[in-house]
Amino acid sequence: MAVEKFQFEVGSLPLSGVRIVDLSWAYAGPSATRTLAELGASVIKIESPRRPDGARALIQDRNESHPDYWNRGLYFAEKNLGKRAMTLDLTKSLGIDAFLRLIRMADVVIESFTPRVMENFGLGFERLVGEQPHLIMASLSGYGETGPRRNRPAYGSALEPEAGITFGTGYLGGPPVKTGLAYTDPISGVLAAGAILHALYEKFTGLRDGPLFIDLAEREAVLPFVGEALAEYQIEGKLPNRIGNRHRMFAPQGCYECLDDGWVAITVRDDDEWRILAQAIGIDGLGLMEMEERRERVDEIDSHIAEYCVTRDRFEVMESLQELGIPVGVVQDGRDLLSDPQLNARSFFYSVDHPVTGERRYHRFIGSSFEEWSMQSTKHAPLLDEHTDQILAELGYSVSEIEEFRFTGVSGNEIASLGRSGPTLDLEWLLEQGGVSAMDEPLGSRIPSVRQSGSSP
Amino acid sequence: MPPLRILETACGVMGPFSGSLFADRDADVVKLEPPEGDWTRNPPGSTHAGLFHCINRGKRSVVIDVASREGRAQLQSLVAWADVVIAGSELVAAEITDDTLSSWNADVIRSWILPFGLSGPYANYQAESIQLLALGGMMHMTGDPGREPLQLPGYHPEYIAGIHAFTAASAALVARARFATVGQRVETSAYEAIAGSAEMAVTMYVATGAVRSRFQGRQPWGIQGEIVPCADGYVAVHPGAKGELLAILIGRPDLLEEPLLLEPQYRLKHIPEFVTLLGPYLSSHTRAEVMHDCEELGLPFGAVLEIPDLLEDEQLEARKFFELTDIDGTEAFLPGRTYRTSNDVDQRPPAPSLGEHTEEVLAANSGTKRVEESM
Repeated sequence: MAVEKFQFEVGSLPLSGVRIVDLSWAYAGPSATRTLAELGASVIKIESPRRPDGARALIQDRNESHPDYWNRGLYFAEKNLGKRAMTLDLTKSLGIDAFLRLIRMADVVIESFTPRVMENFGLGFERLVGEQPHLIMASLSGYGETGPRRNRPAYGSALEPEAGITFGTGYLGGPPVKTGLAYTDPISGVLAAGAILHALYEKFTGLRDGPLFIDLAEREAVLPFVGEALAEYQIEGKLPNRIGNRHRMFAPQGCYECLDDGWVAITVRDDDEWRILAQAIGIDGLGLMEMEERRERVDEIDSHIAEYCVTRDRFEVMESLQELGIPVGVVQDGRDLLSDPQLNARSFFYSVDHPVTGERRYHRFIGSSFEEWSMQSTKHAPLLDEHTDQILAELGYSVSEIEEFRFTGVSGNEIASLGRSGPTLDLEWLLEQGGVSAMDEPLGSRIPSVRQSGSSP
Repeated sequence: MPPLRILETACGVMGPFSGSLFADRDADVVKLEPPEGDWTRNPPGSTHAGLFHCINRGKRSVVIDVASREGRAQLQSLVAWADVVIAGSELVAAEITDDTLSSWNADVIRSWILPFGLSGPYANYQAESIQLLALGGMMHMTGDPGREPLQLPGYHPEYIAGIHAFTAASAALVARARFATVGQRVETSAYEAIAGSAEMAVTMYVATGAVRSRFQGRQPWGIQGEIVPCADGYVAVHPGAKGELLAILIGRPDLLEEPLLLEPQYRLKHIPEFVTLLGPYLSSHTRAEVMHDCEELGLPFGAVLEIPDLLEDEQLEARKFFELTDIDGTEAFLPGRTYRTSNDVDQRPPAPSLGEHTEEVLAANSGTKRVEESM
């Protein structure tokens, strides 16, 4: 197989010239293709003209009334930076025709429907490979593309319990607790990006000749996280207890309240760290206790640490104890993250303009940075149907043919004119109930100032 | 054509999990261990090496004491052999810098995996899993509003960072292959990996000024996996996009227009009534029965599965997900590949014993070319 080799130019990104067709929606798949777009790929997002990506409806700006419902969701905006979008009805032959033209030019196709859907469209892997023999196809699903439960519908927030994670999470003596997150989605998204990058590496080097199908079950992607508990059960017959914020090996470990509703998480990993911490918080007399004794007297120890923390600022506790080499972390919220000195020093945030919502601050989805390039999108998340005509023209359709797409409803954004209003967040109610812990004026295009850190590298 | 060559110098979970994702793809992963072995072979407070066996399948183990002069020379020759070096706090402690690695092999991709990365004001901060969950924003969003924030026990940030590092190193490999350029430094920060995965913590604040907080597993835009008791445990109630299906699920077609079932925000504000409405159905059905009904209807519920349930899960079994492993004389089923491809062959070989491949690797680690040169 002939291998494309580009001359390296300043500003070249690893996926420059790589074409990705993206049928995925909601969180996991779109976050994968956002990361791939940041690496230089040309990503074309395809949405149904009658059922656009539901993420478009989530998290609308407050105190703003705007008729452009489908283009205002910030949930969608952060997951689709750097892409182009078109509408295409894949239940109609004209839609299939355009889709197959895209596939013939594509390196990668990614989708996240329940497994029967692509087959129902007549667009399974075999069919697509018939059009593009070197195609990489990534299918993301809850439970996988094979097996008796493959067609179970699934979202990331219900897969966390299905992966055995929730059962082991909770307060001491309490019921199982789920995170407040679509936990498996962002993890599966970065993994899917990695799977696609690895497949492209094999293609570019000739390690693999021919197509590749990637079957990523979100539940299986996070099952290794409970691997130790699986081993423990089979070797020792022991099941994990819910241990609150304690550690299975180290003591003490906990989450302690500070001034102004702040919290810090503190861990003591060995006898030296305990001696140092005991001295720092003024209980030198207890400093010679060994791990076993600390585990037995952990409630007493916790009350001493709690007493120390409760009169102090959370960042002061972290910085002064980190100075002594003790693992301490402030419990940060979204507002804290935006002004965090470490994240800001490492280019974690950047601003991108958007034609409807204006300039906004976004964060990287991947925890990695590169010596040779930065991971920043410059293009806003696409409006519904924004690039349909442009892309159809690139596929070789004439102006009158493109009109046919619109006339027959294969493409279009009529749904936008229906002016649907979606679920509005009742932020005042959430604030009252605790689902929102504080409320400021919306940041808009402003860039928050960076918190001054007391310590230096 | 020789496989991709990964030199894994980091111990623990982050680096080795990243290495295992390459081993899953049939890379030649050489795992460097100190004379006493990776600590996951014998975790403090544990009596077995289960953790080690979970994340080190398909690798070769080489024992090198990098503090000795001989060990350093051996490390240098292995760096010269590798396509990717996975580097963590062990190399930082041995004062082997990124510049040193690139001076030993200009083509090698240095995949650093650290709690906070190599630079910035927190670069030297200490962190276990709970500090990363706390700083990264996940703990603030987990637990009850009136109580302390809650961790996820285990090594979640370490596993997540391992995934991010695999993806990042793969991106650098693509760049090197396509542009015929040299290696580069890639840094994965577990803190950034968690902050990047803390759903809508940042963006909701930017958009609305509201700080997302812990809300018993609920999302501000609705119930998405409410943990509710059923006949034999708990299920995660997720209405999906079609709330009217809930009326059919609970056998109450008279409630097809009930706002409690239909409207996400109304549901969220009346959770006790919502749960009471579902109560008679849930308390008389097992998790398996609930999940069966939900699959028929297209409702995206989940069951709260316990460890033994996973081992008996028909879907995981049909997909042959678990791999049977001998852990010091006891057989156990451990998690398999995180994703699979149409090119996968058999199961990966088991994790190596300490130093199992020291001789063979050190004897034959030079004289062959890296993947792109042999094209």
